[in-house]
Amino acid sequence: MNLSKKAWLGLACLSVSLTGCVTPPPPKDYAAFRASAPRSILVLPPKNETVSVEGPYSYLSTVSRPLSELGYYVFPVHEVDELLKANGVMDPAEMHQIPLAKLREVTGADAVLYPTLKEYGSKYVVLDSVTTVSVAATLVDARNGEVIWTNAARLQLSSNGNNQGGLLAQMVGALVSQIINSKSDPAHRISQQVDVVLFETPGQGLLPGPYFGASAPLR
Amino acid sequence: MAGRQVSLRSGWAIAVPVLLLCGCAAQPPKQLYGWGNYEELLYVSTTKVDSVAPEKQIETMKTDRASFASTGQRIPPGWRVHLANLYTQTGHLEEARVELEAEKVAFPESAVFCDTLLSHLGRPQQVTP
Repeated sequence: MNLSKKAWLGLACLSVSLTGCVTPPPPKDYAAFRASAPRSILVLPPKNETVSVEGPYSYLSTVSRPLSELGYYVFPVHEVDELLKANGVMDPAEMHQIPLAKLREVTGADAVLYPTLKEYGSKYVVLDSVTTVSVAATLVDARNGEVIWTNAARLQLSSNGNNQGGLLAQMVGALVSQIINSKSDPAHRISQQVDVVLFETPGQGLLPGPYFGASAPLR
Repeated sequence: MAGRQVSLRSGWAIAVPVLLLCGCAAQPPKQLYGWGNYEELLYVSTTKVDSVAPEKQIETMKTDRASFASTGQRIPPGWRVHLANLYTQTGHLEEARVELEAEKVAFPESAVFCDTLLSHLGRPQQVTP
């Protein structure tokens, strides 16, 4: 009986957290996106609005997979970053100021994604930790400078979700999750879920790219 | 008796959220590409949180490539460029050039970028026509 009560409580919590899916905002206008029809996306390192040092580049490493799986050619994020730094542009905020014509000249990108990291990291309170990742992103047609898509996503996760009750159990739970968190950054893992919301939410995310479907090159 | 009731209710508690999640899912389950350890290597390269020797990363990518080939998975965009970068770091310029040329063949969208990188590739051996 006790167990089933907990199960229902879990269901109730999950349902609350899912309400964002049930009532989505109105679909975006994709006319400019369709007209642009980019084949390739150059992802710049995120502009950092957080105090996290590792956040921007940790987040950057998560975007290649979802964008590639959506069917776009995604320029290798690390090599793009290295190329820009080798040309004297060290800071992501400066990278966001590089003229599109220059980016297009050295990469041939059809579109450029400008991410901004707005929140990144964990806050520890006595028996719990809350991890938040928030990202905004704008996709610009590199050929004419037109903004063809913009979206934002924010996710928050508490580490205290699976306690069995009792103060001792809660303390053990908090200790264990902090140890695990320090080994594998929880904000990094939440970033991957932020990408799903940011890029793949129907009516809000990106339109599928040219390789979506069965036409990806075989070798 | 009581045990059966609990498991039935638990079953619903699992089934209902799963149904709700299905309604939200945007993506078909099948993947365009194999990923192997590539995302981990990207994390290591971009954040520099853990330092993994480039030789070790090359070995990891070679193992992944063999696994992609044996399971019929495609190599993702940028993967060969990353391997080329590791080859460059370890002085294997010819191997790097081969990977960059292969990226251009697999993904024509990468041609300008790969040519930019090729022009920075130290002094690769001149191929006689």
